[in-house]
Amino acid sequence: MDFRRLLLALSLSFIFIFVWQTFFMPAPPIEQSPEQGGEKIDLNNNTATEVIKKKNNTVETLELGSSLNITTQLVSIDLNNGGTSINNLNIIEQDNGELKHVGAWDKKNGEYNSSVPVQLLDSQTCNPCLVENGQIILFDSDQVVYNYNPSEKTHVIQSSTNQGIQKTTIINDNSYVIDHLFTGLNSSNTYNLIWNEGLEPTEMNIQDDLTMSSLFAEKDKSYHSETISDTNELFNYTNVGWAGLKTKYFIKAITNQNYKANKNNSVQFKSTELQVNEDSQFIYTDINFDYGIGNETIHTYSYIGPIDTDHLQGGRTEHLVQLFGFGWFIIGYLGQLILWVLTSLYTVIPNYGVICILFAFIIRIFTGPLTKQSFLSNQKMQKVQPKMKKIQEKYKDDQAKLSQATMELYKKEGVNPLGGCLPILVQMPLLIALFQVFRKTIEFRGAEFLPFWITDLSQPDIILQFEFLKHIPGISFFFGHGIALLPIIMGVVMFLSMQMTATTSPDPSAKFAMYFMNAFFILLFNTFPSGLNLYYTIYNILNFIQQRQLKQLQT
Amino acid sequence: MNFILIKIIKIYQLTFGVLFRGNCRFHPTCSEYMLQSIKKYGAMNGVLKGFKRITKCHPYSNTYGIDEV
Repeated sequence: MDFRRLLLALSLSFIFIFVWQTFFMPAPPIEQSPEQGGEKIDLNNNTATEVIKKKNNTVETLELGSSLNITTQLVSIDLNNGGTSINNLNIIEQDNGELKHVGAWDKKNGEYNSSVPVQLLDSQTCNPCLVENGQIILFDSDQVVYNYNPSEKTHVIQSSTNQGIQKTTIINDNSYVIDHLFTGLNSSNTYNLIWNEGLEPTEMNIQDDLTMSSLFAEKDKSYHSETISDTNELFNYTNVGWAGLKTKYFIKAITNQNYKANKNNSVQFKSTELQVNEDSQFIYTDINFDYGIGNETIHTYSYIGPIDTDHLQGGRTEHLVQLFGFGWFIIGYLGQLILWVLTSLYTVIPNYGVICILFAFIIRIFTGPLTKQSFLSNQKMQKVQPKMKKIQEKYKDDQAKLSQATMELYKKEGVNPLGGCLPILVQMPLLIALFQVFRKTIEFRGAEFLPFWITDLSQPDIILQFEFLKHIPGISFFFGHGIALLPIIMGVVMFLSMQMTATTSPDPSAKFAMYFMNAFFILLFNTFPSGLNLYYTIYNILNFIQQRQLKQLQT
Repeated sequence: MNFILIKIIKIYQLTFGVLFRGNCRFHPTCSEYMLQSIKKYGAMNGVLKGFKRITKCHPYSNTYGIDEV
């Protein structure tokens, strides 16, 4: 064995991991001590400092009165502060009579419950609160007027009047968009609209959820985004459209209806990750829209719900769609296409696991003939092997002359050498796009293949957990802390099909490198979504079967 | 520019290239081809020519064998 080449292959693998991690994997989670979490809110202009304080997960707040519950087809909302501020928000959207999005953390016990509705807001204080000259406006909870408008399918909640100010909240029956309209403002006063506390974590793998969370602000038609950190850093943007925060699958976005007319509007963010218990954290972000003076009404609307293009596309949230691409250029478009194919198939076959298998068959239809071609040329090549040996003997010391002579031999014997590298290269963007689609799309969140195996296509199919691996930083980062079954099946199948074809390879170290890469792939794929692994495993099994059949036909 | 590109290709040849050795449809290899065409035609055209060569590397291509710059 050539050890120099082994070293090269090793270092190459590390470069590969590095590149992969940099471009396709989330950043490592930021460790945080419990003491740092939950600090006093410190807005720039000290508006809400006295009234809202969050410490050690207990909210000391103003008396917001009793709450009003509104249930639509999509959400169950509790409103307090006289029907003006959203206090709880659960998603109850249904799909074929079952809850579409489930799973929430029980913060008291630090346990994840995967059968309850997703809870995006839990006992939050201000969603939103209007701040006038630094004072939060309170509304009387006994004078809330609630109306349901059957023709427009809207729930209209009208608050009492305080200092001439009244808030109207409009909740749509089949949309996640909620309108917030404040009227009767005094144009000589300054106003702020604050949205406090952020979003609840919704995923079992909380670090994954956190690392894919970010803040965003739309400015000049494009989005600026900031990673969520525990630094209490304050971000400030002026004249923004949409602003808010997103977790892995859910989003809280707020826009200002007439921001283009009001150049004074600015938004401030502050983010902290708040420790809930040993393992779980809470995405804690205050958003403060500063309207300054000169306002008689403030009309804004929010989208608090799933990152689901079915709901976001069209209508008033259209602009948000561009926040959730699958990557740049080809990968992005390919991802869109794959998602479209998969979701279209889902309307016929309601199991995404079966669809992954079917998708492998579809891709195989295109790549199957390529495999056949390269296999046949491979066979021809083996026939001229004796002549090859002679040439190899002759030009033992001259690599360039050797390959030249080899090529001449091939031409003479009519051998079309191997398939070429393009089929392999084409497979790469497809895999990356699939990786992105399975990781980022809410459709695959908790999508089950079989009840006892692969219960979540967006996560690896871990069959063995090793808790101790959690404490080894490098390994837990690259390899996770469990062993998934699919990558192993895939690796074995790849190994077998390689063994079948690799006999023509003249270079033993290249052969070794192939095996090495194979083992490396098993490790790499261990943390990948099982949907991707299921696809690629089936793809490789089909490849193997085809090669074996071709070989049997030959003999 | 040329210098950086050539260095990148050289690094590729010493790492990933090892894995593909002996599997080439063409002579010189695609990386060698790109390297030579960068030297001959400059960065822009050289890289373009190199990529054009890679797109010819599939089983249905009617060219193979010796294909010098």
